[in-house]
Amino acid sequence: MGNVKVSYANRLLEITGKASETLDLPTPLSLRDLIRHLVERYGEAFEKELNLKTSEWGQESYLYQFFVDGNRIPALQNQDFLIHHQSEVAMLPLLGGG
Amino acid sequence: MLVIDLSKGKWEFEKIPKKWTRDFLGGRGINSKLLFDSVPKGVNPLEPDNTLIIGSGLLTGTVVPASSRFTISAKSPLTGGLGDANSGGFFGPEMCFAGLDHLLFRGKSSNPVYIFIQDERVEIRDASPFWGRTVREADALIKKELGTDEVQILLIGPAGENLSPIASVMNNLSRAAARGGVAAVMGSKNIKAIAVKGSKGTFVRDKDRTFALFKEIRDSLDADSWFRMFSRAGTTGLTENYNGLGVMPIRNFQEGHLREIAPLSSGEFLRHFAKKRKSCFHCPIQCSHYYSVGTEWSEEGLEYESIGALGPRCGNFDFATILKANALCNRFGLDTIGAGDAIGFLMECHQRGLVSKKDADGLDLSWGNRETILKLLQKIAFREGIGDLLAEGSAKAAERIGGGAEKLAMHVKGQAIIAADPRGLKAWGLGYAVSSRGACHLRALPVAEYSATPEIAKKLWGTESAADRFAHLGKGKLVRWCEDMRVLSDALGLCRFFTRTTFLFPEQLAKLIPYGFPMEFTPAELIASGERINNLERLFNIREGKSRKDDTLPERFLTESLAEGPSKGNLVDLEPMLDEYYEAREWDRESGYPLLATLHRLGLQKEMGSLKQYKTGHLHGKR
Repeated sequence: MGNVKVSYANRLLEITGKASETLDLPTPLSLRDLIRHLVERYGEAFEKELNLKTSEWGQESYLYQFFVDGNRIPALQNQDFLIHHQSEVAMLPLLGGG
Repeated sequence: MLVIDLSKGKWEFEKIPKKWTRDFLGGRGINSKLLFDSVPKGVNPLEPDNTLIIGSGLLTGTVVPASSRFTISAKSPLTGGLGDANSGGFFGPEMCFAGLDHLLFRGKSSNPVYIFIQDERVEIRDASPFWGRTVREADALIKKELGTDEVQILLIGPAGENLSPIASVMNNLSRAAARGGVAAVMGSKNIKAIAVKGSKGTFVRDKDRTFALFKEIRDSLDADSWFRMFSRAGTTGLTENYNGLGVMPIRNFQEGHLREIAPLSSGEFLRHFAKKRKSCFHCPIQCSHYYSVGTEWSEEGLEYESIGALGPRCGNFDFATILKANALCNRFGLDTIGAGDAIGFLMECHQRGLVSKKDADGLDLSWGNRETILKLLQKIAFREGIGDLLAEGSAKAAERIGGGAEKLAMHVKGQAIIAADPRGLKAWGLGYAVSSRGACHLRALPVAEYSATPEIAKKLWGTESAADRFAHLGKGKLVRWCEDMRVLSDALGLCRFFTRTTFLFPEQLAKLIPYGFPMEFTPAELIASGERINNLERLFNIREGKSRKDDTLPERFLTESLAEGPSKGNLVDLEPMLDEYYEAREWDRESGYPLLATLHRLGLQKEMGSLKQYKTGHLHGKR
């Protein structure tokens, strides 16, 4: 077992009720498995929010992206990506500006 | 265009040449052309020879959605180069309804005045009863004097009257044209306000097709979850994002990541403070809010930049204090970014023993002191005590403090850096360094760095690493491309949250223009206009002595990495990015001057010919 810190933004923060948490999970685990775990934990609203789409750079894209230890994993396109013990995963929507 | 000579108390209407519309579109584009032609080298920005220009975009006030924006331009007292500020609200559209695209002020009035414009009727009226009043007070009093609420007013508060280069011009009470020191220029001319009322309507090409277009755009916005999210929380949602990226400006950029962000989150704002959403002219996004703190503070806003500047930058993590500080900035007419930067800078000076409590009129300068933050805003606006130093902005304050304070001032060319740390966003750092108005994220707004796919990055900017926020390669091309696209929003008068990434492309904009303006442009013409405006602004700055040596970043970002958080361990390696940017721009690598061939291609020979830097011929053929 390992621990993985997950942080949430925007609507995900409101759905989970927290800005971040540390989860005890078998590591390494794939992004797919992490998402499955979180959907089981937080339900349909969480899953629905994570699957929201937008038009970005003229293409359809998921609204939320994953950053693992600061590095971006193209949103939900690389669900085999492995997350290791003590990694930090941030789920951030495609917001930019000021 | 209405040209007002304040020294003589006279005005006249002039036509903007059609060629300028073709070459520079409108708004910021034509503003920059007017500025270049009207302000010779070496003018003191706060003297009468500076020109103040207010320009609405080509599509401002038209049927095109999100067409509220206008730009105010002048030579900047902050940077000594080109200065401008852009705002939404309702003032720009009302100018258009009055038949005006541009207002240009020369000279200086001998006493405080406000200008009232109602279609062709122009009056220069005494503003002495309103001088010294806050934005809210003056707005209400002017409306009372004019006998109507149906007038849009652009005005300065005490900060602009006191010539603070970090003052803001306000309209609609809370919409701010805050950057570049343009409010100080307005104050230097003794202009308290400009009140406009128009009855001329707007151009509509084909009513049925126009309504069909509205529906198509509205349907696409409603279906797009990004717009729904943004409508709900506005830019307050960026707080969690930037914290998640580890690029928050905590304690003057000493740290980048908060372990617990919930107290400053958009959810916190929406749950406890926001009352109702608010929109600019003709905008379906409605990203702003009315908010209140208890029963005493009711205000409008709130942008992420204000949260960042008045919150973490000053070591303050109390949302209520941020909201009160934002309200004070609106009322005093202060740039929240500049003010937060100045206060955060002062607090770090205190931390490092450069400034004492005694130096600061007995104020407790420990990080996050809520009372101190609110008191300092008043002192800055009225130039009282230590406020007189801070009112100049952190760059000039640092020069006066000395002893190493210069390294603590987070600015480029005198303008404060915004609340996103470039050590975690390399293209943003490059954008700050090369922006024509000093540190600015909006010139380029290279969100592609963390939102584009590697495939898009390779296609548009030549390398997948352009979409890697930690990489340096590809950022020169990315920033150049973004600047040439983003300037079109300013020239057309459209909000960047509408153009964002899909309507950013010239192909989309070219389809929109004919609905709001009786002229058509090809995408290629729009791209050329974007490049032309950016090069013209560069020429203005070159004439004022700027060059590559000024395209830099604070030392902190180049030499000190963040110790913790998602962006830890990173530094900005600026020089290779600058090299790539200049090459992408077809500018000389050594000096940062546009090459002769570039200026010829863009039709800027006349402007180039007026600069001594181009008389020696050493830029022929050089890259």
